[in-house]
Amino acid sequence: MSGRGPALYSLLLRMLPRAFRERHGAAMADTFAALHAEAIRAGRGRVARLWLRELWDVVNTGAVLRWRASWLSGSLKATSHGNSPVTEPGRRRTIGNLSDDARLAWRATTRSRGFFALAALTLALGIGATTAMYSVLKPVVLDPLPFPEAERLVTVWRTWGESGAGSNARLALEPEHVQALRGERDVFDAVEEYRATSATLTGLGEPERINTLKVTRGLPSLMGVQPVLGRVFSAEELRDDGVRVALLSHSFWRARFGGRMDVTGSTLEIDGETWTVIGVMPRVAVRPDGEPQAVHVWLPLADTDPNRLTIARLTAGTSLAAAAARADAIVQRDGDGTLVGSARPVLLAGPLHEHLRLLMIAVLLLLGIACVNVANLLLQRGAARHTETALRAALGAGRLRLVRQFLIESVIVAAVGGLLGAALAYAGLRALLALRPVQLEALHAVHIDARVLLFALGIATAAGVLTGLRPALSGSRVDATAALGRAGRTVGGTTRFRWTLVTAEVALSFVLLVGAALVVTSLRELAARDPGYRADGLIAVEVRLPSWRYANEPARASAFEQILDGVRRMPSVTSVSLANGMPPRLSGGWFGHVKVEGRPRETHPSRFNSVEADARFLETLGQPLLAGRGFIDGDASSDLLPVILTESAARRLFPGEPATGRRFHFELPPDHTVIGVVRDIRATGLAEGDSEPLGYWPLRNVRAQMTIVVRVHAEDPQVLLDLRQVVRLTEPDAIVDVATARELLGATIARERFTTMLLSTFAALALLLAAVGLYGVLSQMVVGRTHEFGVRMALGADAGRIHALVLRSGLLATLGGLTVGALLAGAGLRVLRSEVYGLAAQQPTAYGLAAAVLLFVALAAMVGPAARAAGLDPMRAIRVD
Amino acid sequence: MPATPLSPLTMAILLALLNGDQHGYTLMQEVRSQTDGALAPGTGSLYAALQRLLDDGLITDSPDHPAAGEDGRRKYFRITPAGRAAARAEARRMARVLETARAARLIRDTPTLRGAE
Repeated sequence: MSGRGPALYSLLLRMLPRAFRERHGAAMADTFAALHAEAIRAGRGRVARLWLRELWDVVNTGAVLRWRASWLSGSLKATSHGNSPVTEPGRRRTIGNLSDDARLAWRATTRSRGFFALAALTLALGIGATTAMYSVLKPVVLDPLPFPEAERLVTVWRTWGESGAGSNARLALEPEHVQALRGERDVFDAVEEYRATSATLTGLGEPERINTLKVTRGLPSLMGVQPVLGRVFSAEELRDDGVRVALLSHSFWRARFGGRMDVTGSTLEIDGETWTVIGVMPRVAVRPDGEPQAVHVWLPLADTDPNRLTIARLTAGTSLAAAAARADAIVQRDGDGTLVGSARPVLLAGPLHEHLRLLMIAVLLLLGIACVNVANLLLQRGAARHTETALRAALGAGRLRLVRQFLIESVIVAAVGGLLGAALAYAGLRALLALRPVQLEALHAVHIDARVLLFALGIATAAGVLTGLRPALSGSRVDATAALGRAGRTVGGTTRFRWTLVTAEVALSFVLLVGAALVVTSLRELAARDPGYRADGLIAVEVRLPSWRYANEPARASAFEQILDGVRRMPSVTSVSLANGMPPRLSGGWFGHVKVEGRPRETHPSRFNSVEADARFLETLGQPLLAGRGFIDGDASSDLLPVILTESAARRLFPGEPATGRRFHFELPPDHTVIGVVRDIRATGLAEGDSEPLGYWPLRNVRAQMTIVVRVHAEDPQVLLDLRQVVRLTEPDAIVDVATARELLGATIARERFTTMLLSTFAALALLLAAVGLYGVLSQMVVGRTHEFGVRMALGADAGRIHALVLRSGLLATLGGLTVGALLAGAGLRVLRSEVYGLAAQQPTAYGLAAAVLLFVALAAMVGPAARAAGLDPMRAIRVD
Repeated sequence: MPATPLSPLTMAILLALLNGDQHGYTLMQEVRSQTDGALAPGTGSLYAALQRLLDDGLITDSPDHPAAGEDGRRKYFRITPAGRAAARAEARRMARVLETARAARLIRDTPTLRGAE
């Protein structure tokens, strides 16, 4: 008797009730040790079999004993010190019956595997989908800021202009604003600043782009977080010339330092400089504005850092409106008369949240359908066993006993469904994370929320138990003689209730189907949109030179010239251009009050996307010129300050007149001259609404990060690899990102694709569940009315009539469900309206498509039962009972 | 004495104890060989059944064990007079069932059970 086996078994015994364990635990462990030794002598396979059997046996015994104990509390205690007298008969009966019931229920469930599998799978689907979805939603929507009293955190921006083009432009506050806000102690507990940016990490393998969060000293305490290791920045470290110290984010620490406890004092190479690690932030320390972007490293925010964002903690009881009014008062100024604005604390929200909320609604619908379906299955089973129930009642089984057995069955189904559901939730979460759009990249810390799992399981079990009780109660109340006399025929009330359930299922599935059809057609239209340039054969090579080694412009320019030379020499390349971005990934923009020559300055600010590009850009992109000319080599140094506008930009500045030759400037002179007009393109992606105005400026200043725009004969994977190689040849420490225009365009609708895929999956599952429900009820109906059908046939009804009779019942329920579903979907569309592009135009199609799919599946579910009814032999059908 | 039939496992345990006190492991082997392996309870089930027999007063802890020098954890069980009576009643009931089945020509011969009669 050796090894860890017996010790492990003793641990397993903890699953047994305490009194029992205390009484028999040691002896059981001894017995097991003997069995274990015997199995070891017999060989490996026997040990495994022993374990399987004993594991199952302990779980089972634990359950049986607890049931027994709950009905006979104290019996163990009474007998543990000696012999008890023979138990009185009444008591004995209860004990025996209870464990028998459990066994009976277990046997019943394992015997009818079809029912069992269906019910458990249905539950698992509902539970798994809800839990996985909720686990993603929780950190993004419900709890984006896992900080204490996060509702008191506000971001403060400056906005330009109350309405018009500039109203949604959010600008950073000026330093004096922040200083003034800090003075308002009665409204703002604390005002801190941060800046989210990115940097190049070298010295740990391949150079890598990381996200950094530069923060002021008080930001961690404003968020209510403390480093889990080490300390926060000191006042000296926050000065511009301070020591270079960094805090690691929890995930970065785990990923790059293996969670080592002695990480403080290690160094990082960030943008060519050496930074010393002084601590590790906790897992909850996400971005203070709740944006789901990963933060890798926290750095001190220097006084000279531009583009600072402001976050404040309101004093307790201060309303958002009060804070906004105070901030407005501070920021409002009319200095040079061009900037009049207000600051608005913006509660954290965004379009992505809407998408996820939509998905949550969908998944709740699915859970609802799953519950209805389980209820339906249990009802069906209850109805099918009506005779058995009545028989047992007639033989003296008490009502309690009958109810108990149904309950135990429901619990078994719920337990297995719950386990499967947990597994599905885990797999689903993995899939969600693998497919998530880039906006959710920070979701690596997502885990299954145990409370939600329990919640979903609870709801599903409650639904099962409540409906499980119905047949048990009605069965135990039934007059046995009457019930037995019409054995096999279902009880009217239950059947009606089940039809209602099926109608509800169809309705809910229809809502999901309409939603899915809408987003699918919307996505197809989005994907088929013309970007305005020739996207096929177009490749963007984004290159980021190690900025610390290329401090001056000529060095950068010559490095890129060298790279461009290499690219031009590649045989498959037809055209190459250098720019600061390529649609749909643009980095530049102009913002300000436009002043067109010969007209007064506009009162509202405008926003233009901008690209700085060399002379080959338009040709390489494949964007047609409509008027004037493209850039030529001397344009960058020309006094004209030439600019090329897209149609809509030209129309916006010079409505109804030719734009070429006209001059204008943003905010400050000198004027630019329009030398050409090109066709509109979707500058920022396929999901973009109307084309945003876009202007091209000649490339003057080569920065560390540039995009090489390449047109090739054919996009083969080797070309992409070769392009990367060409860059590396010139500068091995450069960060290179090679992507085809098609990939980039696809990424701009990744969010829509994600929503669509999930919604379609949910809709398909819902449809499946509804079909199962429909099939179940119809089959049951056919069985229940066999006798009646037999009589009808004997009286002259032909098979076709019977067939039609069954189909009619099913169709009635389906059409009822469709009607209710259409009403529900109409109401639900208000939620969708903001989500789906071109919604109104697609509505009829989506409804039609959804109805067609649903009817088809419903009919498929009806065919079997209807055929069975039609194929009945009347003589035998009459005798059924 | 319980009026309801004994479960196969309970009956097998009582039969095994007729030949003297036993502990868990030997009981398990006994039950297995009695039924040619048809009944092979897990440890948990065995002890749950033993507890029920204890509750009903059909068996008791053996006062002679563990003997000196024996593993203190090893618990022996002994059949009580009530247990003997219950097993006898059950055997008689089985015999009657057998007779009835034979008379109805359901079965002809049951050599394995004849010895137990």
